[in-house]
Amino acid sequence: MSPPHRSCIFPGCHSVQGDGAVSSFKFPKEDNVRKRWIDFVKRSYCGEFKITTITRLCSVHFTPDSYSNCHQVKSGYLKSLLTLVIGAEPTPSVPGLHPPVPPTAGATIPATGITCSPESVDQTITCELSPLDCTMQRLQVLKETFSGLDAVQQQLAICSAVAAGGILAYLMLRRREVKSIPLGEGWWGAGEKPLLEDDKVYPFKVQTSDEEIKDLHERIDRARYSDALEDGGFHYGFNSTHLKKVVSYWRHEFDWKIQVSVLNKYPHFKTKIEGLDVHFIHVRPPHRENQKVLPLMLVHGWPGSFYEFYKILPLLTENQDGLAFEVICPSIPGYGFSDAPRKQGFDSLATARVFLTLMERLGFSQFYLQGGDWGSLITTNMAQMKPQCVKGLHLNMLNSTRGFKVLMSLMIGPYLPFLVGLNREDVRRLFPFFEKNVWEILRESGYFHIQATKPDTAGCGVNDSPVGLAAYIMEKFSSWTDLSNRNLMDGGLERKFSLDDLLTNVMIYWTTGSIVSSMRFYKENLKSNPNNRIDAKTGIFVPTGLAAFPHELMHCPKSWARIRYRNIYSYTFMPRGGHFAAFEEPQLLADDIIQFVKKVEK
Amino acid sequence: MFTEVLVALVIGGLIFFLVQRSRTQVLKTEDGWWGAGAPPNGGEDITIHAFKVTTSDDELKDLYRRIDQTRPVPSLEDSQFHYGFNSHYLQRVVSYWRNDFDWSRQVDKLNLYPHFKTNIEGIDIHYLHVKPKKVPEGTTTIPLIMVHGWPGSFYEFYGLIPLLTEPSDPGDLVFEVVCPSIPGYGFSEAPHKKGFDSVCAARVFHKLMKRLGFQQFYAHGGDWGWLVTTNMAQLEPKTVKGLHVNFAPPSKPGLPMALSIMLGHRFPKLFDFTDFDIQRLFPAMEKLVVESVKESGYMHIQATKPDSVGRALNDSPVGLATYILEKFSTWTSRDFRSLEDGGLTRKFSLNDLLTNVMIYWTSGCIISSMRFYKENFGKGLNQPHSKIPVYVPTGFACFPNELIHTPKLWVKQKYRKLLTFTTMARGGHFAAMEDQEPASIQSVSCCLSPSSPQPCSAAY
Repeated sequence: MSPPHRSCIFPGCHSVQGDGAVSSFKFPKEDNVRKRWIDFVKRSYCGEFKITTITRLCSVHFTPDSYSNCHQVKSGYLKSLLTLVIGAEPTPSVPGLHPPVPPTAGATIPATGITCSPESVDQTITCELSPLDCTMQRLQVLKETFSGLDAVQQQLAICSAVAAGGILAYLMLRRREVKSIPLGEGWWGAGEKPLLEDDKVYPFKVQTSDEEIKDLHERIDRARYSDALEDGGFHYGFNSTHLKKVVSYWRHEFDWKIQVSVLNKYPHFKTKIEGLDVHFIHVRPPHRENQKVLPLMLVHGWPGSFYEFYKILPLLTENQDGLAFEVICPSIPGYGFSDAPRKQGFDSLATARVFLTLMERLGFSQFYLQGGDWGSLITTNMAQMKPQCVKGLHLNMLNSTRGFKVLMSLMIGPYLPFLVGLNREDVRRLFPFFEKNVWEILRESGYFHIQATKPDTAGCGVNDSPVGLAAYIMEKFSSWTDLSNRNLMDGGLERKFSLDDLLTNVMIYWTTGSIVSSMRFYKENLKSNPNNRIDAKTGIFVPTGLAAFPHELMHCPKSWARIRYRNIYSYTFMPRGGHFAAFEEPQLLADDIIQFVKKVEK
Repeated sequence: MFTEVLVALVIGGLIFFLVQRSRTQVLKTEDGWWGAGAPPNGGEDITIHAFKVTTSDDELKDLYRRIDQTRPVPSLEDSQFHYGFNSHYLQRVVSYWRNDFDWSRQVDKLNLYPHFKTNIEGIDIHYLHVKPKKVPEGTTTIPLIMVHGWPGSFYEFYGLIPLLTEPSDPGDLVFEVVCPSIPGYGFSEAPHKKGFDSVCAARVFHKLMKRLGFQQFYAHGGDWGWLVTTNMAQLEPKTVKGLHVNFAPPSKPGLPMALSIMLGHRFPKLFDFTDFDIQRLFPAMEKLVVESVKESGYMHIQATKPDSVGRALNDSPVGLATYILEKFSTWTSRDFRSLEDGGLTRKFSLNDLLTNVMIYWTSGCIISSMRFYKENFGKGLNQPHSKIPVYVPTGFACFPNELIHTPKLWVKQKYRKLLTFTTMARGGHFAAMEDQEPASIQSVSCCLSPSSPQPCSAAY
């Protein structure tokens, strides 16, 4: 009969008595020391264990100062075994053996040990036991601890456990909330959907004719003006005295043919998606060695067009520290050279889906997005529909959400901005809140209200009168660039833009006759309460960059943006510029896009 | 001792409150100058000039050319009148306008009644002045000013005028009618300076009535006419003998109104609500807020950027017709939004509708007419006239399809001497143009005359 196996009871420790290098020790008799030994083993032991006369714990688990004869044994002076001092306790110190226990005060680990290397205390170990066993053991510990508490403590513990559970469950639910929104489907052409759709991409060129120009000039010559009010500035809308000057330039100096060749500087294409011809420009950067080319889609808004991006395009397609963009600028269906939907309901979600299809058709599986005005909503929807495809989302306008947090920051913000996550610049731009965000917005949102309710009524005349169209569109380029432009007789239009650029944008609306369909986009997006739409209730999890221009109509602080945009990589207070950022401050916007993309690419 | 003092104080306070309450508050105003440049040194020219509406072949040629060159915008499929005027029906209206509508004949019709112009505060004011042809012996005619609104004109009253001036029943009251065009509308000159609001219009019309020699008169109005005539009653309560309105949106929401919206559905009797009131007002969120928002886009843009939105309409006759006629469809009945033809000809003839459009087109007044919204709203809603009640005897005709339904309780908040409140059997916003039947006029006339021995009953 072989002697009883006196191996170390500590899980994973295979030292056996008589190995020479290690000694084993019986469990002590004193109750409190014995309990601490047992606790020490329990921390790593799964299942039950019994202490018998042969149960041993080896010297590996003790620090040198636990021994009375450590020095003598180590120096070889004594040949006997190590002897523990009375009351010595085991210490977790073996790499890969002891579970991580944060060193508590007093539990100092010596610099030198017999067999243990103290540097490894912080290292994590893998539990060699089955997860189920581990759980069972932990439950057991919990149960024992719990039964050791008195009644009041027990109740307290139950309450806090329930509360913690509730919070955890809520957080889990929040985390689990829909991270993407369904793509949906649609067909927007006239009549019935055909069985097969042509999915080829065709090159396209902007064209004009003498007749078109002749008709335009005739209409301009026949325009019926009425007197502007004295000292009305731009407060009543486009000042008609100044309008006459602008129209005279349009009639006599503006050369649409030259502007058409400017438009054709970049390659245009059209392709059919969901029954609509979608127009876009696709600009590739010049080829270079060691250049990372990133696809980027820029989406315009109202009353802009793809032409808004003509100044920022060269800045994005040129090489910047090994980065360059391949840019796609589509026209929203109903805008510019894209077909107008023939059926009701074509909103930003449908647009996002169409643009995702476009990117897929062009062979991009991952890309960046940038947008302002409607473009910001459309690109946001795209990021919500296919987060896996969108590497980064850059916006220069965003609508603030509503809710408790926003309300709180409005109430507390002016006094203690830091409490609600506003900084000084936020406060300067937000307050006085009622003047800047309610009255001013009411004064500026008449177009929005009528376009969201009766677009066909509002647009019919505008589509018929070039002068009326110019007044309607260009007023926005005055007021939205800087609200104080309303005090000027010329609306400050040419401070930031050239008449050629402004009129080219107007001509895109005029020649395509797209003003009514562009206005309908408001109605479609506001048919139901926009705050109840699925996209308003879904967070955006892709990396997001925000550029806050000082003259944007409504300022959205980072702390508000964070409510929906959960992954903000950059938030920049831009030094100058208004609503039409790409058109007005192309360099500033390009710089911000590039720094954002660099952050994401890292 | 202390109790006595307290009681005396309370009674005193109560008496003071009641006296204060019943004291007629009068709206104050100052003369203005709305002509171009600075006012001339000499006195005002108070002469009255006869005026005739005229037209020319050039005008018609230009109109037809523009109509022919209209760039049509096809409506969305199945959208009826929900997105605005439906383009399919618009084509039919425009085709009628271009081929069948006879503007020269309509001009003759406009000239059936005598037109005049006179200069007040620097601008030429246009008005109709219709005296009854025969006045039965022993009766005196009752002077009445009738003020139109937007997008209407003095022409709205053409069906009503003969019923008032030439009643078929000799026992009826006989009116002498003055229908001015609000400055900036129709043939009245547009103000050249900022700030011409409803109170200014009221003051100008008082001056007009004085210039015509009326010491006391009655007033009737709907749409802006409601506000202008109400302001007239507030400015000179002694001059305006009676006020009749068919539109009275609450100018200042007060506690009774708030309570009635909150509790009216549950306790209609408490607020004197009829079944029809309940039907029109509740659920309040849907009927009062959502519907109003859906229909007030025109108001919002006209109250903020009239020159931007109006520019094109003044240049495109078809655009103008679209903009104006949509209102004649939707405001006559909301259900018309679901009809392909907007129900336009159910209540009106295309001739009448297009005549109204032509008044806007030929006078080129759409922008200045829109500016009236900006002038009235731009100064804020808390204007003195919205706070002062009206103490002039008032009659209210409540048309079932009016844009904003106002139950009696709400009307009473503003019009303290509400003598009649007549619930009409049918009709919408353009009451005068839509309902030209004698019976409704009778109700109007008896409402207008509180001293009249006739019992005032609902006409229907």
